[in-house]
Amino acid sequence: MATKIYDAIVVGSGITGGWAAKELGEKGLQTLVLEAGRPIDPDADYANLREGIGVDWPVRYQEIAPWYDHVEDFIGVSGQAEGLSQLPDGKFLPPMELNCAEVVVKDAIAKYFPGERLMTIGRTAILTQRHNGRAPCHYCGPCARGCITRSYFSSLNSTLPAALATGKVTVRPHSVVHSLMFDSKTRKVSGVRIIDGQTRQAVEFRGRIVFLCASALESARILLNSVTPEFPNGLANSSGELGHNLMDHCMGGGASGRIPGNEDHVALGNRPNGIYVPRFRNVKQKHPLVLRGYGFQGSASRPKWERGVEMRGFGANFKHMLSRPGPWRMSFYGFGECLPNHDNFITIDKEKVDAWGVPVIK
Amino acid sequence: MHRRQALRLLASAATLPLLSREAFSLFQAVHEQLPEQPVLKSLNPGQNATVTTIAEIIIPQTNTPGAKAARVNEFIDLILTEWYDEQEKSTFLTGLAGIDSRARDLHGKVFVECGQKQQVEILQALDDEVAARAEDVRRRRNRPPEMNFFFMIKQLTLVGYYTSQVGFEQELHGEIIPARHASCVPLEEEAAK
Repeated sequence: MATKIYDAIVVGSGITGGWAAKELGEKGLQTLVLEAGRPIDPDADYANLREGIGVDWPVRYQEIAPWYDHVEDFIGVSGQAEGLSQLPDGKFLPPMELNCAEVVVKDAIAKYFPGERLMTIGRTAILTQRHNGRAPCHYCGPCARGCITRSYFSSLNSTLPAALATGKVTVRPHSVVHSLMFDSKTRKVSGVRIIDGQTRQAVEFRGRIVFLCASALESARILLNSVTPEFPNGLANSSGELGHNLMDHCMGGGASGRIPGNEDHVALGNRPNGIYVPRFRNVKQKHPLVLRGYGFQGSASRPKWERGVEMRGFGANFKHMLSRPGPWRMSFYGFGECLPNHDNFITIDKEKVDAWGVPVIK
Repeated sequence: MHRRQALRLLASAATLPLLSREAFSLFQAVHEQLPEQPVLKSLNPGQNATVTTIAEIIIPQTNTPGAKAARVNEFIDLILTEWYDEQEKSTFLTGLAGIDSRARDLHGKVFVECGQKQQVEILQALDDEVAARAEDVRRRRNRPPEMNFFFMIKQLTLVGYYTSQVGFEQELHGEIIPARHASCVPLEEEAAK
């Protein structure tokens, strides 16, 4: 049993947990980070109020905008300012470049849908110039394996080192959070109960405040598992909505095709970014059939040998042909907005526990 | 990415260039898995000889090495053993036996004993059949999983060859870490590099 009372406990060391740890440490708070799940992506939108769907968010974009700037100043986001209301600009580092065929498509969209639709380079937390001691991207490609030049923003590359540099922050890995502790006298959360991933011992940590930064599903699971006599359905669940209204992109749809021209040009390197066509439905005028809207992501490239799989032929000439890049192809993939729905939910499976004895979600 | 996903992607690799980069590294790892001395687990010596011959006709040695030098037959053996499910493996091996049946019907001997011209003619007929099938699928606008032997071996030969060190470095002059990046540069300038 630990007796130390931390000023703050942060559950999770992903995107948000890393930020919480950095901010708290820099403000001088003794902070404990319990390492757990994945990042979450907070958002604010008041379409719920207008359309009577779900509940109105209690914060507006104007209120959050300075915080976006605060975050983006530190992490570095590359992109092209476009002045769109549906895709607000930030303080961008120089944008990555569109390739030959993408420029052709961008110009065609501008010509056929002036003032209505637009194609821009993706906005991405990958550096295009040196920023806060981190090197610009060198376009090697496999970002998912971890970025050795720290050009790709992550808590490990950026916020956690800053948090640790304050000397106020302790990161405790192998800490599988079981639930939050609730003090019925003060009516406040008083700490975090964990299972040590290596010793399998239950350990408790006390803190004055607790930041739950354990990703959408894990944070809900921890709250649902934090059952007390006063809160038999879990903490922060008086509405019964905890774990409900799950939203993700609805994906699907799209198009691809050959873009004639530029046969004598190629793109070099592996740009870790694609194009973006921001939502255009219901921006200036209401669409009779579509509620809200959808955007497109995609890219253009010149497939080399891969195209041979679907082409006729074999032998020396075929081999020679495949050693040269094929025609430019452009692909788009649709990303739609998912609306809050009470029936789209997770709950605790009372029959089943994970490897550490913590009830799982279903 | 999982092996099954990577296999599925192959059939549509031309339209999914970004995703195939991830699949590419999976297939590249297969080559690293090959032992120094060839050890075949699915193909018997006769089947191996047929696979080696077909792969070399699809990607022959020219001024750069061909499929045989890239050990594509061993690559295919490993995919058959570890990646394919029973049905895919059976389709492949049945199709492979069908090559010898065709060769016997046409020329009275097994495929590897036919002359090179005869071998090319047999494969040409199979390639034409695959193309006709693909055209039919396109017309009907649906896409059933491709389970045709020649499509499979051509696909595996291309993947095996171009993800091998020989194919990637000597034939494509590929670099794992690109020396530089540019959004739109003349091809000839790049080729002259």
